[in-house]
Amino acid sequence: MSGLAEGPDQYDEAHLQRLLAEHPAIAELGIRAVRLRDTIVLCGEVESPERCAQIEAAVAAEFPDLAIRNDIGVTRKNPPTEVEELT
Amino acid sequence: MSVGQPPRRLQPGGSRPALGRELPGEDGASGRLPEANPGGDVSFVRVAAVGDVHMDRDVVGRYRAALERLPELADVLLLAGDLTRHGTAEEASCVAAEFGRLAVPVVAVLGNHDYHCDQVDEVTKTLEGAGVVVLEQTSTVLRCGGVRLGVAGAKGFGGGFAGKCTTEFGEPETKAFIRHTRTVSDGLGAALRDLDCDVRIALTHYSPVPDTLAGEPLEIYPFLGSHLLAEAIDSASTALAVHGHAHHGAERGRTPGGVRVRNVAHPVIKQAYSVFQLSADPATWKGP
Repeated sequence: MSGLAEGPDQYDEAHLQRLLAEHPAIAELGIRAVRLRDTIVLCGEVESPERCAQIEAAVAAEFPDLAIRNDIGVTRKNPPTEVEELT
Repeated sequence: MSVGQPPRRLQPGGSRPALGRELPGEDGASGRLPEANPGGDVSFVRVAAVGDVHMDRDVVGRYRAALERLPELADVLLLAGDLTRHGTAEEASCVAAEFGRLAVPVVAVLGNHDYHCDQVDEVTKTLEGAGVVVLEQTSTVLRCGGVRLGVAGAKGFGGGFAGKCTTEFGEPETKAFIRHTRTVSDGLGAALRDLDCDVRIALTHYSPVPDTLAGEPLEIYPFLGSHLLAEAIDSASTALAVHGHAHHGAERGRTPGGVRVRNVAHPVIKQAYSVFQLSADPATWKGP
């Protein structure tokens, strides 16, 4: 990919990062958004499936002509099975 | 890097997990704030910790099952900031519903998300109303059986790490940024040094070391923590430093002075909370 083609993609990624952090309903700073040609790939973890869907909807609304690959997971919340002895 | 003993498996069932020693029975009295380590073992304390739980109405109840087991596993729960999504009083009430009035003491600091809507006072009051001790350049001492556990806490702030850090130079905005970090770090250090206790823990949201940021982009390290926090931690005889904030970071690190650091951001530990066992013997705090 040429440098000219990479420029707008980088701007899209920066725009997405700001959108996810500053969107009044989202406020996610830990999601990585990468544009690969005509697809936006979303990675990271959130606290609920609703937030995962909310992020995908916001990105789709902002970039309606791009496909979205949503690899965001929901962080597990099981009790621990081990203790770390700091001795 | 040596990071202490390998984890031991917590055994299900029973009043306390088996950890290579027999623990005395628990005081089952209710209606008062229970003592941590109520059995009175004078040699160690067990600390549960998690950060970045980002509570809102959609996740209330999510931690409940794990929290019901907490009294079996630990003497105290530390919350390492970013308890809410946007820092509203309504979200703080969700935190209070989830983590308030537990059977063990809960000690918290706030994180950057908890400041976002400029409702810090309301957030703090809501948490305190649910029995959560909220620290900001302050400390608390908990009686864990025979051990006096001291926790000093502060949100912390950014600035970066030795050799690559922001300084108080240039534009007023730049100077204000690092001045805030210095003020908070100085406050944390004073709170740690003033503690009268057997085991001293530093609780922050931002990281004191780069070790626990491994996995994050290098470019954002200055927004994830500061060496000034590590200097504060090393200024006292600190047994453990706990922080959150770095969702893509690593679990384990050390300050330059050798104090063990643990990143307990929920996406990092990938469980409801981690549990650390600390000896009351200072000779063990910096490990082998």
